[in-house]
Amino acid sequence: MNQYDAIVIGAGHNGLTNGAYLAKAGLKVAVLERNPYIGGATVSRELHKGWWYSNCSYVSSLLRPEITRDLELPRHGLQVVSFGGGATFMRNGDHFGNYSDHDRHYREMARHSKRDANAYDRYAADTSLQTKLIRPYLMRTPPDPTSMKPRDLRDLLEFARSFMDLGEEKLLDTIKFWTASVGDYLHEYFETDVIKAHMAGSGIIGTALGVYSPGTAYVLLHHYMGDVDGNVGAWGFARGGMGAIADALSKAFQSYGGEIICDANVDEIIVKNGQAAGVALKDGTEYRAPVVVSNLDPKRTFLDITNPSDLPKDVLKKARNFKIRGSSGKLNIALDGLPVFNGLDPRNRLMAGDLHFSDSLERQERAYDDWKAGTWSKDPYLDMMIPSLTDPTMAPPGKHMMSVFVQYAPPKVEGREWTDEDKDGFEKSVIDQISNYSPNFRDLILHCETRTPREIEAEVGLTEGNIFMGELTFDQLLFNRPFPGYAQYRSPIKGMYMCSSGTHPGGGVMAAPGANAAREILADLKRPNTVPGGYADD
Amino acid sequence: MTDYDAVIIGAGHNGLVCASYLAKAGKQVLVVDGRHEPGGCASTREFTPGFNVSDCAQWLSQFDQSIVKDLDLKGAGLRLGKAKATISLQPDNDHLILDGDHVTGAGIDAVDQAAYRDFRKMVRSFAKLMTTLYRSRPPKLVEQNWTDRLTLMKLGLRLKLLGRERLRDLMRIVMINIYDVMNEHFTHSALKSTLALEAVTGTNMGPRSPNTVYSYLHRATGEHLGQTGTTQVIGGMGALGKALALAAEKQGATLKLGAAVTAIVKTNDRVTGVTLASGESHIGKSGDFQC
Repeated sequence: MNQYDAIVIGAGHNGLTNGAYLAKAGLKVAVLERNPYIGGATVSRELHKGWWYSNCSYVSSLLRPEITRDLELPRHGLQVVSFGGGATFMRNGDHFGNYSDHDRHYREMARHSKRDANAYDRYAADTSLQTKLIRPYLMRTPPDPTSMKPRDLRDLLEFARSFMDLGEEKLLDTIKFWTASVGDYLHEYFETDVIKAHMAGSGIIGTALGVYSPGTAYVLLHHYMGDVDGNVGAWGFARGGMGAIADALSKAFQSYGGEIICDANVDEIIVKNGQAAGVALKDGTEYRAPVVVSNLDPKRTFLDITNPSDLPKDVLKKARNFKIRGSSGKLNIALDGLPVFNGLDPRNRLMAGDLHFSDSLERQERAYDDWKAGTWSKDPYLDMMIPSLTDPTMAPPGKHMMSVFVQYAPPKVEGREWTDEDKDGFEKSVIDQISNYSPNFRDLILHCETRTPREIEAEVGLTEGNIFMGELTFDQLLFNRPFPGYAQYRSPIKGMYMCSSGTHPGGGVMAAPGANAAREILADLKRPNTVPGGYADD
Repeated sequence: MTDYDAVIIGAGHNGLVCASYLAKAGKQVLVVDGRHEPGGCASTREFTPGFNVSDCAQWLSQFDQSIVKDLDLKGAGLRLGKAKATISLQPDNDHLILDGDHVTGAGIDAVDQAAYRDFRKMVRSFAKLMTTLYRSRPPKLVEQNWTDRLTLMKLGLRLKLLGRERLRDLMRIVMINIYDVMNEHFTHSALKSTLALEAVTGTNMGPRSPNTVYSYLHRATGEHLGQTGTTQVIGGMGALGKALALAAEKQGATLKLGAAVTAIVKTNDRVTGVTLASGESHIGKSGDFQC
């Protein structure tokens, strides 16, 4: 009998988290997954013999520690190893290294500019103030500013108070930060091109905006607000790839009695008398439940698997207008050995971090110009990592695994679908970019898997290949995510909910949307809450 | 010389309006400007014999009508032309014409025409809201006094009065780009680009830059303040500068043109006057001197 208390559509990290908390509360829960494997974009796959790797999301920091501990993910096999280092290699043969050690970092910055080195502590303090401000809201449901309900009014008041407590000057800084471009924000602290460019990358990753687009300073924050073992702003690798996160979540979910059903491609959410009643698969199978939770992005949720006649017109319009633009692609490369960039010893600690080649904001902005014109960047911004330097299990002994995140790649090429020739052209522009800085790189390539927005959408189901399931701009953040009036995880249909990264607090392997949605569902069902509250920062 | 309660540096339209209101309140006001003409960017120049041009600002679209009345600018000679329509020229001579809430030509269909009316209606309701802010000083958010609190309360009330759906619209579009908003409302390409042009004119942003909807609203708010839409000043923008200068003088302000300021004089950490290029200095009356 296919009868459940709740059905979650999509076994990505948020779907599994949502399912785990519902199951923990004693509900009979099934998570349905279209692919034969779980994880969504939080996945490790063996696409070349001997190389198990994260082929979508590739680094971890945002995963909420409240969830990691509460669901005992380490007991279920999750281990996140933080990495340090990182560098931007410059056209003049030099590089800017990002050292973890404070004094070494100061000396490296001072090598490029003493003024910038002295500005760094101020920059770090101002930016961490912003992370402190946002972190308490990650594990909470956003209040609705248009509502007069006591809970919304109370939460809004509290929200306003946390801003007022900053004082006039810091509050104005905050408003500026939330609305500024990452370029303008960095200009206020630094003068050196390569230093600004190195930091600006976090403001554009996964976003269809340029470094001079207002709103990108917030995207920078989105990359700073996570932590690894309480070390705020740090990033790490999940051992065994990002799939380890999905595996641990699935084990936690199953330990509470949850059931995962793969190869289950949902065709439509069944609605009876204005109330969700279950789902029908493309093969005709039906699963019944009074609670249906969609972990698909808002566009797929409302435009693909919901019958339009079950939805109010304004929601259809809002879903159509939801901004979820593909802006990036990825190359996963199996390497025979370590490449040398600009003559830097490949055993240097910097190599274990994020490596880049865009040494000025202007180059990054021009890369965005290509996207606007409907083509991939000819001088792409790359966020390149060699995870096997930190986690040797990612490749056979002596070999290496390289993950190259590429910005920008448009969802469509000059208005038409991607072709295989386009994909080759895209791949070539990336390989050429890397080879410009590394004479031995090309010879080391054993296998290269190239993923344009077309592949990401087809395989993972992220519309347009947008990695955040919707742009992280203010019109789609907090109480506006996914749309104003629907930010509290409830859909307009009774019993139907949303738990994807398309809801607050947004994209990245955070699992907070899944947990927050579970809390709202359990409240509606008048069940005791199983979702932990947010930790306070010191 | 110790003659004035206030010296205003720059006889542009804001300087003159400020001077007029101070003078109207009984203050002794001096306006100084390095140029020989009042008006600053509101100026007309004969660029070749017999031909005049508004050589900086061109159109009047955002001038608050309440100031025109308060300072009797019509009495001071200000004459405005008719409200301006916008014409987007098309290669086949079937031009797109935007006049008030109506848009015609260039094969525009009834759907886009209706969408344009709705769009204008929405924009007007936001413009009305922004008028509250435009007519007050920007409120301090933490260190407020009662004036600030009153502004914030008025703003809050107006936000509520927008209604839930409009408020949700506003929350979403206020910080986004004009490119997306145009595509959400219209299908007609020339209509989209004509409106988007207003959002990017004078900014260093493109139609894809977030916040360009705000710059569009800024212009729309101006129209709301001006009530007449975008118009031409008869005699060029310089005529506005002249009318403002005349109005300021009528209120009792003194204008000193061709008088560039070289320094602001400070005594004991307090601004007390200005020094002009001619060497002359104006020192304020004791105590309440303001610049």
